[in-house]
Amino acid sequence: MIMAMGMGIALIIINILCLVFFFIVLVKLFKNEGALKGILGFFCSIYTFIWGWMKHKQLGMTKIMATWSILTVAGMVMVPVMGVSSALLIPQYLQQMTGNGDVKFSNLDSSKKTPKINLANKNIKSKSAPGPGLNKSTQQLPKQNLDWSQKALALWQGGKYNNPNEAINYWNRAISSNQNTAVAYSNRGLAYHDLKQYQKAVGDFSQAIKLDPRYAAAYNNRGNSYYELSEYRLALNDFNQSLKFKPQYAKAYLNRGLVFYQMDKNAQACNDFKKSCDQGDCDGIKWAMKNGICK
Amino acid sequence: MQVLITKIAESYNPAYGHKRKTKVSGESNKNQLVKWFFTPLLAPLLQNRWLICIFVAFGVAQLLLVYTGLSGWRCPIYETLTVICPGCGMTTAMTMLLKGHWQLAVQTHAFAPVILILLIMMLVATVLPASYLKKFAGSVERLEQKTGITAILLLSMVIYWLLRIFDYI
Repeated sequence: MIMAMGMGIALIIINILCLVFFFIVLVKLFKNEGALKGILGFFCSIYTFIWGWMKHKQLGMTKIMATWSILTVAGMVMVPVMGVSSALLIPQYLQQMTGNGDVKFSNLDSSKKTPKINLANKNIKSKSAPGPGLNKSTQQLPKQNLDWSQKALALWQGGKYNNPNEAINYWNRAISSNQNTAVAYSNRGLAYHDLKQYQKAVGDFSQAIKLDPRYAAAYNNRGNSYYELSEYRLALNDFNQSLKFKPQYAKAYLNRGLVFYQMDKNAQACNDFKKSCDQGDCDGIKWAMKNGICK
Repeated sequence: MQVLITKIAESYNPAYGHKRKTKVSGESNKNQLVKWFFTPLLAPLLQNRWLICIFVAFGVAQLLLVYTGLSGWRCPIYETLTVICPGCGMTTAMTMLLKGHWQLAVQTHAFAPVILILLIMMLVATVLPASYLKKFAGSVERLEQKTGITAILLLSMVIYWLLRIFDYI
């Protein structure tokens, strides 16, 4: 009896956790895909589950999805193995225990859960707990996607996003709306960079580079994130790549100069700052001269 | 649009950024609601064969598990709160449909035939040649945009769910 109760309690805990994870993902679904898909996710938890796995990297919920999956499988296995839908009637057992003290597991059959709908009137017996139906997944129109991009772009002011979280939200929608373009990933990476989430930023820039291997700006941006992570060699490689694909790229020269400065290669740093100035961006050389790095 | 985004990505520099302003045209709530209502949901899915396959695989597996009396995907809302969700009973109703008990299936979940049609559409989409699939998805998209059928169905299911919860059905 104790074992059965223990397993029953375990199943209840699993169910509660599954519900919590379901709501976490559902909230993200509402936020990222809009109300219509959110309603669909509420109808059909399988849809929410699949969507969660589709977006787990972008939304950083790999652990949530993995845990939810494990718990779901555990729950699916536990029910037939121990036949404990009855274990969910623990309160009744407890009542029996506190009553006559004669505990019997006599109600295993009758304990099977049925939907709240009154099936008895319709001569139907539900043999299993009702599950969500087969449903459909969606993606938004590119036209709508245009709006998300515009909204995200409106947040870009003064060389950074004035609200990076909101920008990420908009870019998420743009990306999930079938616009898996390199620029969308790169721009979301910038938002993560502004939030100092450099690893995520690197992930997005890498995705942008994967989609467009000659995307100089993405290399430059990833180099900046590596710079913040003090991965100067990786940053240097990226700036080199960026300049390879776009030799007149002032910002990349400037950023590479900063890397050289961090690597105590002041001569090369000054050289890059000058090249950057030649291309029209003299902020670096001014700063270096002011601080006595270059003469 | 593409060019505008690219410009932003290129202009970025952590230390030496410069100002750039973009304008976004405002949108009234009414327009947003209309747009929301007529947003195609099924058509974009039908364009993605890989995604359809995943959904069909999940759906078929679920049906088989329930059909054979095994434990399939369990609704987290019902399992924990014992409150039915809008989709609860759908798998049972679908298995009844497969067994030919149409009346019982509709009594169990009124939207079972609709979901069966959707499942058949998805099954067809998995085997259609690319050109036909595109045409098929285009037709569905036009239907969804003109009629708002998806939103109507989803909202109807919400109403149906509320009626079930409060035992009106």
